Amino acid sequence: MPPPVDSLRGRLTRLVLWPALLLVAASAVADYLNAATFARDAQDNLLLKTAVALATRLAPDENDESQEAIRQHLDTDDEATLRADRLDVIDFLVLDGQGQWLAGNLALRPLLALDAQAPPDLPRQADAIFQTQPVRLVELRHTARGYRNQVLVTSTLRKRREDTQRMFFSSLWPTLLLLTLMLVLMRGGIARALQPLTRLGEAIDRRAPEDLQPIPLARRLGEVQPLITAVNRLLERQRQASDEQQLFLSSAAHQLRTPLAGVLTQLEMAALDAPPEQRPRLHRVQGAVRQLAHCTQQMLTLARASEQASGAQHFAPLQLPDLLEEAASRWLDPALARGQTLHFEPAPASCVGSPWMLQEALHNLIDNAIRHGPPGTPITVRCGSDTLGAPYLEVEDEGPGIPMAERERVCRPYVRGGATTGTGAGLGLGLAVVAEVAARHHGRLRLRDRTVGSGLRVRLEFPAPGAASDGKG
Amino acid sequence: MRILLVEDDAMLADGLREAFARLGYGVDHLARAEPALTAVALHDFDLLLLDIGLPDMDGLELLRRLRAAGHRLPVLMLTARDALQDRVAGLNLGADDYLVKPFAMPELIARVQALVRRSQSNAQSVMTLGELVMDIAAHQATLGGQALRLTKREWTLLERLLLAAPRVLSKQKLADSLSQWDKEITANAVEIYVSRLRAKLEHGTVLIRTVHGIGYRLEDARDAPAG
Repeated sequence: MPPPVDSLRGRLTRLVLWPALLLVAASAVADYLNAATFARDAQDNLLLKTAVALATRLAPDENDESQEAIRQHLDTDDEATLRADRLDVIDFLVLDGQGQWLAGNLALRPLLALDAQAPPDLPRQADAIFQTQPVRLVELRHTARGYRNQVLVTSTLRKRREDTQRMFFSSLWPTLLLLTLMLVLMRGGIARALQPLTRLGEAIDRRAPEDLQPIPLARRLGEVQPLITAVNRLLERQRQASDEQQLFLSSAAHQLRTPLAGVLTQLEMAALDAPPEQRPRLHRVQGAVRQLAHCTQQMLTLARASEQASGAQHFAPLQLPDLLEEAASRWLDPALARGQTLHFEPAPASCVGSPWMLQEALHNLIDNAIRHGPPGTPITVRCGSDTLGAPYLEVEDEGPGIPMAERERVCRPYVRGGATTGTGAGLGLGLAVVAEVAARHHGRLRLRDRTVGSGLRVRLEFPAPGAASDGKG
Repeated sequence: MRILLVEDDAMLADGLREAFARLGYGVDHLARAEPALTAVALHDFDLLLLDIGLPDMDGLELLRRLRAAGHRLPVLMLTARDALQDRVAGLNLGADDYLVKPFAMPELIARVQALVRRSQSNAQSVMTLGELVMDIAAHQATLGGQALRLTKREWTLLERLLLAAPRVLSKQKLADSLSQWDKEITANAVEIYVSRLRAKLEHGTVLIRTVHGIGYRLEDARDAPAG
């Protein structure tokens, strides 16, 4: 079987996979944005809490507390606690209303941006770069007991990034898992869903070549029905054509053969009574009519053995020696009439075939041998199995043989400039008939020279019993 | 000898009638099947030559009706169809032989003679081929009027060959029929009996022809095969 170019299963999978992947990608982007916002909000909250705490701490506890006293509100331990973080660098700066330093890192001062007129306790949150590091900042103005201060808290983004990633992946994994699972289930489902199609194919494959009965529609899937209907229409047309051909052939056989039989009989009578000077002419006519009868028979055989007409062929197991025995009775007198002797070498061999076709094939081989073998020579008819167990029929004569270049041509019927015309030297359709019969039996025709002296050895080879089924279809 | 010919083709029928008349056979010709039923019932024919494709009734149907009515006469079918099924159907319906058109006259005559010989072996128990006459019931054979002295096996052999003529009879079939009496006879042993029988037929025109690889055929040397 050739590799399928495209399969329904593959198509379905692809058609569903790409949109699904696109959806997953879109959802991942949305998830990421969500997670980022979420993590930023979380960080902002934390920074704001810190900012509020700092602002409250560094406000005067009582009226008119000195700047210095306020600074004391935040000792080094507190500062360390504030800055302590597992991942991020947290930094801060607290100034009073006049821009005087209260606590923290003065290097942060350029980051301050809040307008002096801005309402108190409304935080500004923004992204910024501090010492080449991206940071998040919260800036806040706070007023207590008429004392205003200004707080800035910054934090690097490591935790926020980690949070974002964790949240993103924790929502991505289930989606990917779901998608994978869905694809696996879908592939299985498609295979199952397509089974009726596979079974239909097998059912058609299993049919005998001559079986042209319509495929039953019952219990088939709705989608398959148009296909079956189309196949059935095709089968019906094929059956009609085959029937018509059969009808034509049996009609042609009858219309041609009966008058030929009449003419031949009348000619024989006429020849008996004719004056001697008329006899040569009558004999020539007789010969021509016999040739006509012979050709008619061959053409009818060819047509009946053809693939188109072979709807009605019945194959059965048969013994090849039986064919030889039948041929002996049929051809003994024609051979004797030409002074030839018939030798038979039947070895046990059997094959499955059409009895009438094989009979016709053997008749044509022997007939050719008798026509072309010189008077007084033997004609040998054999059957048996070769070393590989392949059965064969073989006829050997001591005639002039057929030149190598002609051999292929004489096996083809109705070829322009071929066996039927001109220099075919009266080979007629005999070998074409045998070749056609060989083809119907998945066998082949072999033309060889005799091993010694001149002569032709024609062998009709059948496939070996084991190989017979492989040759089908 | 009287033959009923049922054939709708006038030219063929005329030719056949003339050919058999020359051999001294009487031929009654009918172009349709229906009257043939009556004719067979009224007259004693030795043989029916029956065309399968008749205008009013299929030859096979006529054959079926004849056999159903108990008519035993030998029937040789002439068929223009070559469908094997037709031939097998004919033989199954009780035809004794068939010949596909167009045929050579000598072959038809040989087949007719063989059929008549076989039916005579049943009815009158006398069979002839050329100078050879075998009276089955009386168990006597003559060759050109001279009595032939045959052993039991030689008799069986000659009877089989005569019944089969002009067909070739395989050695194996001969061996099988000879084996009826006592132990198995091999195909090789058949050769010995054949050669003895040949010696006894030496003086007549009847001869046993060897067909290499198949068997033997009994023939009248005066019926030289025509080309």
